[in-house]
Amino acid sequence: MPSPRSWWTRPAVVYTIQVLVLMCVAYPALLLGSSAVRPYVSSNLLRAAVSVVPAIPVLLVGVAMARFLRQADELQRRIQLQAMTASLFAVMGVALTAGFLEVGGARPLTAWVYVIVGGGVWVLAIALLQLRYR
Amino acid sequence: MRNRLRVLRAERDWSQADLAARLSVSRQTVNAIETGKYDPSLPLAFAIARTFQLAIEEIFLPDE
Repeated sequence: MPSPRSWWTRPAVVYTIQVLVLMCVAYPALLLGSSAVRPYVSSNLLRAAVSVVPAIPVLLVGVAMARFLRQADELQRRIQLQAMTASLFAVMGVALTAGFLEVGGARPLTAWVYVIVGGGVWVLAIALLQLRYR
Repeated sequence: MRNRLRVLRAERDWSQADLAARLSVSRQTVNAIETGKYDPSLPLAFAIARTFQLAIEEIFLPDE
């Protein structure tokens, strides 16, 4: 009989650790590093490159997610799909509302809002769905 | 849909983790099926039936 996987090798655990390291360690470190270095860079092109460096860990979250979804079983895929649906519609709802407010004369929202709403709803939905299917 | 997974597992003295390893799914998935929170796909239902050497309808029962 195949032996049960050790908890630290389970796809969901590996994925969670990867996302936490990327977003809680790599992202803040690169953000601080990029902000610290940027004033000393004279070339416009190089300054733009330094500015977008913090986006790299966010893109790597996408790679970790794709890898997890390939290894995940059908219930875990369902949980991810439901969480992504919640996140997509939260972002679309905020974007649509912000768009209508903008037409009405309000100031446009900064792009950060969409990242925070999308990421926040995604994580919250996964947590709630994990409890539901526990 | 109801199922006899918990009983069949207990008869063989398998834990949820044992059954999950045999089916190559997470323990959470086995638990969600047992508690009726999740109905498995047809391929997984066939895998479960093969594991217990039973027919699908001997494991999964329709709601009355």
